[in-house]
Amino acid sequence: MPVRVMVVDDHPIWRDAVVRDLAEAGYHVTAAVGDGGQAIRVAPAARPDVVVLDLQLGDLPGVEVIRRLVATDPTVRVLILSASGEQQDVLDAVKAGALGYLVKSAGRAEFLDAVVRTAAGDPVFTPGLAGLVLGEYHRLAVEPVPAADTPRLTGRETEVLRLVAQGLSYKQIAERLVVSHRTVQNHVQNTLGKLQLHNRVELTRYAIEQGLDHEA
Amino acid sequence: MIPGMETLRARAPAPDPAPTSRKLPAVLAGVGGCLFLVAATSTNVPSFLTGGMYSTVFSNYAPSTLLEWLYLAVPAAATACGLYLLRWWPYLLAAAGLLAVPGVLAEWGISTGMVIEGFAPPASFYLAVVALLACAQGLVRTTAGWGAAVAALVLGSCLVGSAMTHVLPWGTVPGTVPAWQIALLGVGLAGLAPAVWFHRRGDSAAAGSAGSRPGERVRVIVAGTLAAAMRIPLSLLTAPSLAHLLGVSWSAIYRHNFATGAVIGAIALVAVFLLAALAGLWPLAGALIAAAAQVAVVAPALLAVSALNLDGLAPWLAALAGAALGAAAAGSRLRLPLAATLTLLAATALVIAYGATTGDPEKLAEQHTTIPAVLILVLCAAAATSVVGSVVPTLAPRGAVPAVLGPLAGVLAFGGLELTSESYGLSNYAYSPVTSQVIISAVLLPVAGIALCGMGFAQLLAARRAERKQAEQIRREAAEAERDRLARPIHDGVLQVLALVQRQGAELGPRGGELAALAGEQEAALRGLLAGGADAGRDEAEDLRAPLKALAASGVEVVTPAQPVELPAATAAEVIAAVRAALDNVREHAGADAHAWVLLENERDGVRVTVRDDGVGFPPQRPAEAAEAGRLGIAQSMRGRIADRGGTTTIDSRPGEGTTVEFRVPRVPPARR
Repeated sequence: MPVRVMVVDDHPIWRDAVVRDLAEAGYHVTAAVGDGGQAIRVAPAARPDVVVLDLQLGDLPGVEVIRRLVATDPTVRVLILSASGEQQDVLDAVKAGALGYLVKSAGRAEFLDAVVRTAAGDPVFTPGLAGLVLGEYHRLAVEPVPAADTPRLTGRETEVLRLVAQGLSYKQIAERLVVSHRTVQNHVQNTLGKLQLHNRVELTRYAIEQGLDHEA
Repeated sequence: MIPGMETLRARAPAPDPAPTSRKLPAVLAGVGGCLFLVAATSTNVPSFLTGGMYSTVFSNYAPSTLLEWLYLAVPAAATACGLYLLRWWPYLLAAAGLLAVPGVLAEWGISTGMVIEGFAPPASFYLAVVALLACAQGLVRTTAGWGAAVAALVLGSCLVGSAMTHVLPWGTVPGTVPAWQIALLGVGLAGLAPAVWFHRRGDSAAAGSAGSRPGERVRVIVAGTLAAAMRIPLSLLTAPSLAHLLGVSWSAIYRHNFATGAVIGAIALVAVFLLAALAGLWPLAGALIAAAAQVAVVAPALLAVSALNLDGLAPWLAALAGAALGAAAAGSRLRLPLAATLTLLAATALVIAYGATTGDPEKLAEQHTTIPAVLILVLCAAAATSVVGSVVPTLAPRGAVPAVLGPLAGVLAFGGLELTSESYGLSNYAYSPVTSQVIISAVLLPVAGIALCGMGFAQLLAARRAERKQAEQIRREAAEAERDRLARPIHDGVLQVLALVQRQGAELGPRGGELAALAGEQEAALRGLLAGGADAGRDEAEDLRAPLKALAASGVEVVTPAQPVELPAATAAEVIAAVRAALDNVREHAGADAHAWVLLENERDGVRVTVRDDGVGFPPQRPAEAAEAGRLGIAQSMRGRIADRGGTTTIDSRPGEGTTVEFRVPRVPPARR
């Protein structure tokens, strides 16, 4: 059964190009929409396995779209494809549950590879994203009042992330650290998983503090 | 609210729809109010020069009846009322004028009752001083010159009044004074009428910035009122209580009454100094300068008036000329240099008088030498009034309320006079033989002049700084707005198309690849440009992200965190230069198709930048060879720059595996801490 993909991008040329590439590569593009609200409305019917999402949408913040998509269907896998350099947006998107981030200038092959990996549940870690995640862990570490459950990186995880951020492939990292490819992948997945978990815990705590937990 | 806006708004008032029509009544009222002061200081109200106070050290008992206590509280009550109602100054002045009437009537032998005669004159005096300074502050908003001139006349009119009659007891011509006073009060009230009409809804400019900031207003009122209330605690310092306080016998107090006067002066000085500091640093400076000028003018005025006391109108004509000259100097654009020059001239005249009389200026008084005495009186009065007048426009832009200077400077002057009275050889200076020690005045006057210029300079610097800050703020906001305006269409349009060209061009063969590379470079450059404007212009700490992002090109990827990575601007510049040198090395030595990654990281105590390439690499000894061969590129540019900032550089390379250069820089360079 082909992988079902939904494309969300408010730029028509781009949307068409991405849809064409995906279709040529044998994916089943179940929906291609131009704004976040539409994406959220269409998603239950389109039942995508993978959502290729541009963060700059006309109506809703990308983070909000991801949050709602994941809330509706926790198994959905979101790949961010963005021309934007707005790093905080990317970081927030990843913390909200996106599996990977690719700049739009990435090549076609790289993009299709990223879709394959996203569909398999593997995080797509570009150097840029690794740098953002490293920075986020640092920010959490130097917070004035660190909570007991603040996620921290192990030494190995830091090492792996830094190498990813310096442009090394998983294979090169595995060779350099003398570990298996799978181990590198696990480390990377863990760094992201801890952040997403922390983010969910924080959101829940916030909701309880604000008395919003019964709402929605 | 933008910081610095407050000051600038105060400096550049909204254009006045009808400046002349509003200026004229205020100026008339100011001059009219000064006539009240002349009248007040020529009756038996204690002189303004001493803040309405006189030494109490010779009284043997503290006030006992309620009426006596209330009498002491009159100045404080009048000051509080005046400072609270600053914007209604025309009404305050009118009240002051009416309250001056019972005193004048008493001179003529018409009694209005003990209580009114006792309470009305001091209340009139304090109300007039505060209201006149409020009038000056209001004028400063539209025309600094007139405001300064009115403020100068406040001191000048007191000098004129004192030169006329009782307080300096030599010029009294029985019977002439009350007629003068009635005339003065009448003319003054007439001059006040237009201002009462024009400002019948109050003059909001008179309160200065204190009018809009409640906290400052309260501080100003409290400081001024407490200063005026100083007589109450000081009146408790009677001879017995002072003897008890100092642990000496009564007789010692009487034998050394100069020293005890100095003690009282010192106590008053310290207390008012603290009060002035409560009102703010600028009012403190202004009050000190005004007080110094007031203290300095007393001895020369006494000397000159006693030298002229047989010449009929000469003393007060000279004082009038001095006051007019001082007011004109304060009112001119060049008020600071003119005031300083006048103080120097006055000091020179005093020094010459001192020298020409072989150290005994009292000879001037004994021999009734008219011309030197007139010169001294004119110059000293002009110097003191110009200094006091110039303080007001210098303070006003700093949000200080000149009206509070009246009580503060008055009491400071009292303290200063008591302190110096020993060296003056005066116990109760108003009635004592003329001092032979005018030399202190010769020192104090230039000191006041120089301090005034210093304060003007400080004000100028502060204003410049505020202006720069605001200009910088405006520039930054404009740049940010412009960037935001451009960013959206560029993100939506140009960047998308460039990314598309880059992506699809690569699949169209070698020429398409070239196009793709070009598009990629332009995309990176454009993005760098957009990011660059965001944080530029910060002086102290610079965010490394934007300048590093600007180094991105095709084949060079720059990776940064989402949070700012800040270093002192100078250090940041060195780090960027080092990264640029490392990238130059990649271009030159790593091979044509080598890629480079720049990773920027915040660490707990510093910043780490890693530049990695996947080029040909080199054996570890190569950089040393290069350094020896005189090609100091790597060694000098990178290691040197980073080491200068207390950082370290590590270079790691193996043939075929690319090169990794790592810079670690502490946030605070150890050598420059």
